[in-house]
Amino acid sequence: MNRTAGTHASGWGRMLLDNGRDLAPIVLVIVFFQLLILRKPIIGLTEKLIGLSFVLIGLSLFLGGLSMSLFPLGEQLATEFVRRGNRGLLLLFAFAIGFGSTVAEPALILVVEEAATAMAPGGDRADLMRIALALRWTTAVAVGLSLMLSCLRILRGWPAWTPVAAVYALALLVIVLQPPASASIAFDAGAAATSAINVPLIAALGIGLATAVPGRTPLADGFGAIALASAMPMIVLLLGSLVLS
Amino acid sequence: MPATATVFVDALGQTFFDVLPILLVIVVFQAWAFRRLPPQTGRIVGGFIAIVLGISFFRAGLALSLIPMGDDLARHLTARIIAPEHSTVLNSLWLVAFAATLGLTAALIEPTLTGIAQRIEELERKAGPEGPGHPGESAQTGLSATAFRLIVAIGMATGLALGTFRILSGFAWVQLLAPLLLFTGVLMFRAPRGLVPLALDSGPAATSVATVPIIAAFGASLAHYLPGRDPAADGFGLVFLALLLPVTALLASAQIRVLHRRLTAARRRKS
Repeated sequence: MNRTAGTHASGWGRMLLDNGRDLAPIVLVIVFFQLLILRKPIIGLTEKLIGLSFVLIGLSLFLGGLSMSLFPLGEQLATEFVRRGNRGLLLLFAFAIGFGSTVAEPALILVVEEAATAMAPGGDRADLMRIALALRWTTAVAVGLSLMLSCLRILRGWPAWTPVAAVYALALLVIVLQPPASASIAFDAGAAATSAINVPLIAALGIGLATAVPGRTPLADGFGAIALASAMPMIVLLLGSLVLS
Repeated sequence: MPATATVFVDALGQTFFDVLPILLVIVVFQAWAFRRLPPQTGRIVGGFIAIVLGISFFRAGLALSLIPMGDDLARHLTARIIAPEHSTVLNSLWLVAFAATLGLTAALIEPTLTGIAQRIEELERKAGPEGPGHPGESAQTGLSATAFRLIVAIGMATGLALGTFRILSGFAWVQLLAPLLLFTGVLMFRAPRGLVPLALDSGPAATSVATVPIIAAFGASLAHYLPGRDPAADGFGLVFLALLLPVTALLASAQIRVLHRRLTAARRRKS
């Protein structure tokens, strides 16, 4: 059940076994469709087996590393900020994490260029690049601000769902009243802002803050920041296309 | 195998640039604001290296195995739909079934989701059966890490099945999205307050290093091989459905459990 690897070799062995159990279904599904539905042999089997063992090693290293570093580090940082009582420093840190992890994200760069092309079809290349750059910076600032708001929310005890519901309600309004051509690209961009590195760190920061501030519970107050951060690229791209059209 | 090595080096470079900004922010804050090393620095550095290597192996492994295999399957299944000698309804069903099982199983190997689900389980165990703070309203979800991930996976499967059905039948994406967003919103107001933030975060946590490339590759090949589809527009939208439906599924599961509890209570009263 719990895959927090100890320092023992047996902990890592157990983890490999658990992760193998997680990997088995997707391999079985693909093999089933390949052999039974399409009745085609699998080409390049050695390379694919090497790939699957890479996936297994990667899963185990990542999950082991997570419980050793990002989770405890995020919670330690939150505790330290609360102990010092320096709210400005905490908010600055939250902004830096959100902005830093978004501004250079390769997946976001791609998706924003795609959106810029859909927003201004036929525009010349230099214009498109300028639009894409502006969208990317706006998105990164928005993600940073959203994390600041989430930290403030935990400190003050505001409910987690309100800002998320407000952003999605606005998005719903936009797509119902005037759906832009790039709507599906804008919505997909949300997943680009949350990576395997910043999701655990943001979660740990929220959990740490909710644990350190009296009257908050880690489960009810510590979560919600990831959802708000991932809604930012969507709303920026949606509103951006409204402004441009 | 040199090809394997190239793929790994590419993945390592990509991961390094993902980690770099966050690492910089943390180092700057430790050095400038706190002016000291965090406790257990060695362990944290070791963990960071494990994370970077782990994501790189994971990405390279996906690029070598599951992504080309999934792409190949999507292409062949689509080719069957186009071919006039096959029954299109049955073959369309196979494609929808493939999308659903791909979503279900891809969510299970999403490391970000597994990490978060385990952390939630640890917190629930620490909080005990009652849960501190909110008397009367338990902050507990009562879900184990495995149950949490399974519900998210079922949601993702539903999202991909709906999205694939949408691409095949060709109606507007917004017509599918707007009712789903409304439905999820209604469920959110009815769900136990402690579950809502967890449910909201589950979607973005579930769409990360594993599921996004797998789903994006699937959507792109679907839009590419179906005639009359624009790969630039029709290939998009699946990832967000895979992000939204896990939230819907978790919120719906709370409703189902409330109903179940009421039914068993009513039955007990009768007997």
